[in-house]
Amino acid sequence: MNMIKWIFNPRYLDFIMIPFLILIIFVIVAFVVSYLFVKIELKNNNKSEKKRGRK
Amino acid sequence: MSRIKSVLKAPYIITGYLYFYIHFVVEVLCFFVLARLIGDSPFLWIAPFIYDAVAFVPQSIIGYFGDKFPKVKIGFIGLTLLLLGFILFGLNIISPYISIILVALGNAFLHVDGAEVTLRTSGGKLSHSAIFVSGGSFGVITGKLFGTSNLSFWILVILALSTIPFIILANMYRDECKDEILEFDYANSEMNGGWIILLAIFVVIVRGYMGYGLPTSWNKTVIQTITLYCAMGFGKALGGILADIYGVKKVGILSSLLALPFLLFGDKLMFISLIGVLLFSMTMSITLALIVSVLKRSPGLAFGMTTIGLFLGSVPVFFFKLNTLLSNCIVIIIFTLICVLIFKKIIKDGV
Repeated sequence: MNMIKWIFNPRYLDFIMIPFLILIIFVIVAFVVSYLFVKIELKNNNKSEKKRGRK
Repeated sequence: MSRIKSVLKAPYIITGYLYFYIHFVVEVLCFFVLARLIGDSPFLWIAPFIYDAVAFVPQSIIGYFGDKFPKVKIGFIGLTLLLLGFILFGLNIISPYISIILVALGNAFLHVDGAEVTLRTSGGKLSHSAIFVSGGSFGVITGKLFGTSNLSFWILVILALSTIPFIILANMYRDECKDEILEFDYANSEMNGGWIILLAIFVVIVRGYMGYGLPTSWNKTVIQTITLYCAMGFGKALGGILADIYGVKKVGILSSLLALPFLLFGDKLMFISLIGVLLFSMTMSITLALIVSVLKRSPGLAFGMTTIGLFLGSVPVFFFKLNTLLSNCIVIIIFTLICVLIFKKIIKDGV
């Protein structure tokens, strides 16, 4: 249950650390990309609302 | 009662039922794999963590591309990945971790397709997506039970193949509807859209954490576990249905507040706890509707943002757990009250 102790146990360190790091990098990259997508969409929303306002 | 009946007969509500079944089957397969892999081994705690990360986190990216390229049938990509991972796991010819990654990705694609279909056909109602999402809770517990039984995995392959006509039909209904879903208008328009998304994700994180960390010492038998998951499933569906009848703001705030005493005093009393779980699960469709109200042109991306919240809510449970009942109760009270305040602030008045 206590994953921190388990992950950093020297017996499993090599076995687990590389895939675990890949997973963490994957999660961080996905967060950043999602943030950028949301930002783009919010910008697009603002633009189209302004257009609608002009009409 | 007649109001509930009319919601359950709303236009295109069938997409909710179709994806209820698909979602159920997807979760059965995924949790069958997880239950078979983990067994009783404490060494394999990493498997659910990998599964959660791969199934929940990329849904926003998949959703964004699903929104941009509506002709790509992501439901079928998902089913292919799911079946591939599942069959490779059953035949035991590659590392089970690759199978987990494949089934988790399949799960992610199918979730996004479900969200796209149910949100686009809903006409601004919450019931469609709420019914779709509720199927997952029933699937999780069924998959866990099947995984610990001697059931042949080929039977589940047939079950997965049975979803094909359902996916085709659901996508046909989706194609009949327009691309923008401007009817979703539940968010407070005076607030910045980015803040609304962030605060709604915070509520999802809290719900995700509570789903794993609730004090339920009464839960000792298989029947009790089944009942707990059923309460979650019914709560999710009921939240959307009641929000369509009585209004999003009322249901969001009342269900969170009413859940509090039941969650606090339900540690040893099953029925009290179940009412709390049911009430707290009701906020699921409301948070989704709030994010969709901001990202009207990208329902897939909006759905993906809620699953990121679910992942973030599940992460603390892997690393630490509050051991005393008192500390758990304090956390529940503080976070529920924050969620109520957030709902009060970000939901538009009169909806």
